[in-house]
Amino acid sequence: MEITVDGRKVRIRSASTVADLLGALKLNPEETLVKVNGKLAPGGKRISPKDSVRVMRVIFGG
Amino acid sequence: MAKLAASSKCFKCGKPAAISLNYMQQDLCQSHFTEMFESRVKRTAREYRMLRKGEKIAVALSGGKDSCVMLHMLHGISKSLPIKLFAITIDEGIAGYRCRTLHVAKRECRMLKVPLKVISFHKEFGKTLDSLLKKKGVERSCSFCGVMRRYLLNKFARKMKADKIAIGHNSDDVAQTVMMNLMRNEPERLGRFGPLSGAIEDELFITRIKPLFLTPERDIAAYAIMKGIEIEFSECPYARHAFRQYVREMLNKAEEKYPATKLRIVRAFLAQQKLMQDGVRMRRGKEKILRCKSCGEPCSREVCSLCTMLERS
Repeated sequence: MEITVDGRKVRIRSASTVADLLGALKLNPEETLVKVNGKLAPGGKRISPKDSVRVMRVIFGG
Repeated sequence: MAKLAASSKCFKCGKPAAISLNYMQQDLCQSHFTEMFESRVKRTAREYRMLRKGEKIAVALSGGKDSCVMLHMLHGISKSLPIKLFAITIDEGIAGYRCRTLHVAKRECRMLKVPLKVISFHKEFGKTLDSLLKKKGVERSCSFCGVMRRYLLNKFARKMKADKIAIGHNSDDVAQTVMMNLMRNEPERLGRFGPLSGAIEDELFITRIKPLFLTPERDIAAYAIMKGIEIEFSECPYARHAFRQYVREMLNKAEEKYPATKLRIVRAFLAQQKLMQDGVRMRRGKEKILRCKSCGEPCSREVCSLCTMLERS
């Protein structure tokens, strides 16, 4: 399925979870937080094409 | 990739979870996460006797997530433990970066009614970090900036009669510092490092406390979001040049595969800290803390590293 992440379209397997999404995007869960429909979501949260997903990189230097 | 906790329910109450904490192998809802977060910070402050009734605490506030969350936590603690807070923000002069976090620092202090003192490199040293690095090169940017910031924080906290300086170092920073000092074969530095400074005592040194010492950086970001603390998630433009950045990425890769690696490094350090501190005290006890011939601040040589650095620039 196609999902929008921070305004970008990303293709992932259907019935995927937040953890699958991060894996597909090659992002380290240790450095990111994910909001699904405006709320923070755990790795096991299922996402569908209707969802609005925001992936935030939160580990920074400085 | 290591598997995230499979459930999306809170480990404690079964309600929908808001976050997966791989290092604990738990998912937690917002309410249980914030409760756990706050009690961990308070426990750290209590365990290391960071705060005492009546003390005046200078909060080193960059305007980033760590220092803002620490300010909120200390402000909360000050409601039950009478301590006085004020914040110090150092404006290093980093174009396009510091002005944004400075805005956040001012806003948070206004909201919490905490007095704020802004000190700039330009006013104190006659040069910004940007201009200094044009001559010095960006490779050692964090070392220069760190020396200058520590100098100003100590000097102004003392001037404003603070008993302690609160620093927003989190457990990721701690794990990185431990690894960096091992990789550079500088074990003595670790003897002076910890949740509470003070291995070397001098009347001109203000004790530094680190209430977020045992709190992971990602948890701090999540707490800020959950509490509606509006944070700038931006990176210092010089950070990518630093050795710390390499170690940060290395540890996060290890953490992804072997969850809790970073906290285990912190715990291993704490288990050996006393021995390392005693080593420093034994060696340094015979040496006298001098006063820099140029600026009068405490140092171990005739001229302190800041004055040496500025003289060469």
